[in-house]
Amino acid sequence: MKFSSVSSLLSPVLLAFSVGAGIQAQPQTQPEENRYVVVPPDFVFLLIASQPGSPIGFKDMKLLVRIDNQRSALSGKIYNAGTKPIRYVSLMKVGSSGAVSTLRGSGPMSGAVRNELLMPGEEIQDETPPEIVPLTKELKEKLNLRDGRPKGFFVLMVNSVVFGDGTKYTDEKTITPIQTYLEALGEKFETMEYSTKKRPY
Amino acid sequence: MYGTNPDSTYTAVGFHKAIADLWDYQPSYPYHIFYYDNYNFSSFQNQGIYAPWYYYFLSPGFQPIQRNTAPIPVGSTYDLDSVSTSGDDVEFVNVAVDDGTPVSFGPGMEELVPYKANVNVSCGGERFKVVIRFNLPQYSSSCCSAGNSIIKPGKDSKFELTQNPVYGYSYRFFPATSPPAAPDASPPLAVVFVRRKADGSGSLNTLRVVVGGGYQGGQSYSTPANIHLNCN
Repeated sequence: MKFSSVSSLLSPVLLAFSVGAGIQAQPQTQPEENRYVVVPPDFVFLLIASQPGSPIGFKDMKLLVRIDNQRSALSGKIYNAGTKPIRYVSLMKVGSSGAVSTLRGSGPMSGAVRNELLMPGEEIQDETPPEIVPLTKELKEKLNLRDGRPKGFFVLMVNSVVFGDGTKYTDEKTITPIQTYLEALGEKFETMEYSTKKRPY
Repeated sequence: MYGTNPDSTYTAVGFHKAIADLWDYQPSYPYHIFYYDNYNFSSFQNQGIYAPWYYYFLSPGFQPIQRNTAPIPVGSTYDLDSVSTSGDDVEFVNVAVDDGTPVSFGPGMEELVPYKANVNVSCGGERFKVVIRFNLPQYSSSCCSAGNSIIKPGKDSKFELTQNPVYGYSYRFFPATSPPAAPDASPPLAVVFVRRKADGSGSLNTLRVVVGGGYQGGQSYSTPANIHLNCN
């Protein structure tokens, strides 16, 4: 017998083989743990604080939520905008609720003791960059990202930078007033927000 | 061959190249990758050989692989782009009230905090216990000192912290300390005793938890979460 077409034979044979040997002919999917959607700015938006002299630059920063609704993150380009090599970077975001959170990332943001330096102009490279998927209507509902009046904002800031020569950059003159202001704003906002709502108890 | 001589022996030199498509894989041990011969090269019907037309090789298993360089079609231009992802340092896992079923934390985006959770509590009793579990960042070297970690009711809260007479504290982080009856602290946890304010004052139900610590590299970290205590 001459096979006139391999493809005409492949399907039934493949099917039999799959059932018999337990082969799964399925595409390899990206784990849900690395799939995110961008948070729409009409829900919550992101601001970047002006920190003159900061050795860290940001570009295209976005707020993300993982599609399993387990955690949030930031993505974008984070690079050495200064002239000195950098060993450690600590970033922080402050919500308009006043809550302060530091951020973890790759390389100089990992918290590990390291010898490598982030050279001037160099970007922090992510070992597992996120896969950003479109925010569909279904995902919007699942993640509770409702349209309408924004709930508030996050301010992204450089908390501290340690250079290769051991010197350190901090910016308390910017960080402290922003933090103080947002804490006060958060208390006002929380009281106003909840006092106008009917509580279920 | 062109221009040959009789009575001479010639050796043909060429190369053979296998062409096969990856069609299948076996995603469990012993992890075979299957290649199929779509071009029928391995079928020698005139010799009575019809198979194999597929081959399988052992695979080291399925794991994230990153190309050193992306494929660049001839004649095209190529642009490289990359992003970094920054997550919150501490990962809040779940919260349980009075040893009940734990409730998972989710993102607290709309409350401008990294994590939030809603739990039901009995507001009529003397006190209730709230246990919060979290994971510390990989390179954490210390955590949960009084200077960087705290649990407190929000402003105008209906609730207040209350000291447990047996344990002698209103809240504590583990395994930073080892008081009597220290619970299993893997993953790390915080225990807090709360009660409804006796005078019935307050209108809000948020409990704010902040877990902070230090990295091996010397930097500090801090992550907050909101827990909403809903009266049964």
